[in-house]
Amino acid sequence: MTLTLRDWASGSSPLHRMDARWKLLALMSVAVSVVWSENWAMAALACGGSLCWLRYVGVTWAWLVSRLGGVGGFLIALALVLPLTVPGQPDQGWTWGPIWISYRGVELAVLITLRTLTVACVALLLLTTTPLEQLTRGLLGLGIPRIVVQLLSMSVRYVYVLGTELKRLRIALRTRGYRQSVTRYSYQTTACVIGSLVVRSQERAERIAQAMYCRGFSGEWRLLPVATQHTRDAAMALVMVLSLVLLPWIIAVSYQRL
Amino acid sequence: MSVPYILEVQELTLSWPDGLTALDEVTFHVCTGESVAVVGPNGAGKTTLFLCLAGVLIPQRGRLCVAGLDPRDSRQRRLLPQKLGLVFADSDDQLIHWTVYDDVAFGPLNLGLPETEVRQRVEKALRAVRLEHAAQRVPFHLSSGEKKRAALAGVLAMEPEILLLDEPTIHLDPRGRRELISVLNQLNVTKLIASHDLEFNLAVCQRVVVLDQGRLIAEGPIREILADTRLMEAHGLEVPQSLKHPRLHLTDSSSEAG
Repeated sequence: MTLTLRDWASGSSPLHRMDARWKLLALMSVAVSVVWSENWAMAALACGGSLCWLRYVGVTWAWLVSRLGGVGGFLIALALVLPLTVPGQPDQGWTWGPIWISYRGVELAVLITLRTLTVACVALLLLTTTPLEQLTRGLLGLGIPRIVVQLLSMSVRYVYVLGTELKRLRIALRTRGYRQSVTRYSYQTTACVIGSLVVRSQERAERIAQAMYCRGFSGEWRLLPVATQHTRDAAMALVMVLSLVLLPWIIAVSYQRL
Repeated sequence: MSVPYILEVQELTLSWPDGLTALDEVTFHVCTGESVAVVGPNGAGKTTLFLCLAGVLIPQRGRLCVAGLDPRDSRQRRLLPQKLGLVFADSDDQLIHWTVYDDVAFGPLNLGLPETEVRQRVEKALRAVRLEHAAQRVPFHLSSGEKKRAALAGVLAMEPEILLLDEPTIHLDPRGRRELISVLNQLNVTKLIASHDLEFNLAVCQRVVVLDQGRLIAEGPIREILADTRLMEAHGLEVPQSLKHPRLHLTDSSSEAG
């Protein structure tokens, strides 16, 4: 059985217990700092640090690899193309037969790979330690407009419902002998399935709106507040920023001076 | 002395934009504390009637009085959610939040109640539907029966005077159905139940309203009306087994109870 983000998010580490607002602030600062930094050593250390945090909250390597796999495909393509396409002087690269590999291209590929992996790990760290209901509260607490948070929350909630409907439609097709192939008929059938799903989604959206109206919804998304320990959570956020931004930056700068 | 009607429907008429009549001069009354079944074949207008009572659809003609409010009046319509709760046929239309607790709190929060009262109401509603253990669970991890009870709790938390249940037994297994009957029988509110499950109606309601093609066909004591073979068959319905073979059913019930 594949563990979902929510399964990990129901853990009990200090990071799980941390207020979502502080966690969001800390992890967003980490992501922004890493993306802005041109220092590959700092990005590498931040990436390593975020992997350590993920292990600390209990995420297994196998699950992590399966989740980062999607990003991996994109990164491999990038790492293969950049060294061959970034321009430079002939003495600023390796020549290997007819192929010329740019130093700057390799450096860029490494930097982008490390940045992407760090941001992906930081996002996973947030999602594996914060259930969506806490995340939405955190976003509201940080002043994100209510309508945006409501849309995010309801979209994620109903993606699963729509996914189940799509699964049912596909099973219904298969039980009637349909098999996907590269034919005009197959594309027409896929279009019909998508059309049917869109119509069903619209009908469901109408019913959801009616149900919300019947429970007194007048346009303002309200949530019950949760109790927080600001001092402890602020300290935890500081530890995260120190370990993932400041410490990697100090080490990277000291290493380059040597 | 006048009878204390909590719900008055007089000559209610609603047509769809294509000219099809959904409700045609429907007239009936419901007394405070009564449980009334609304039965009829598919397309009889049961759900449309409920949506009119809840103020979602506005009828073209007729008079409506729901707990002293007129759903046709826009100002009074805004107060309706405090008086009338509608449980939709598909619980997924109603369970919009990420935890059952948050979802049950949705209605009371929309009423603008203080946090402590919202929490009290949520806990009371969850106790009433025996779902305290599932408060922090995600709606899509619940069984159909639990989803139905969670949706019911969401409406009960608003403490309505009238409860409308649209197809409450749809997708329920016998255990879920039994649990729902027991929960509903313990609720001390006026109930209107639209269901094809006539045995369920018999177990919960004392009176019945029969609709067919938007018209009110019959109204009266449930055992008397549902036992009328000619009436039932003329309107696409069947006499429930427990009324056809009462002695056999009595034996079954007593062995189940034993």
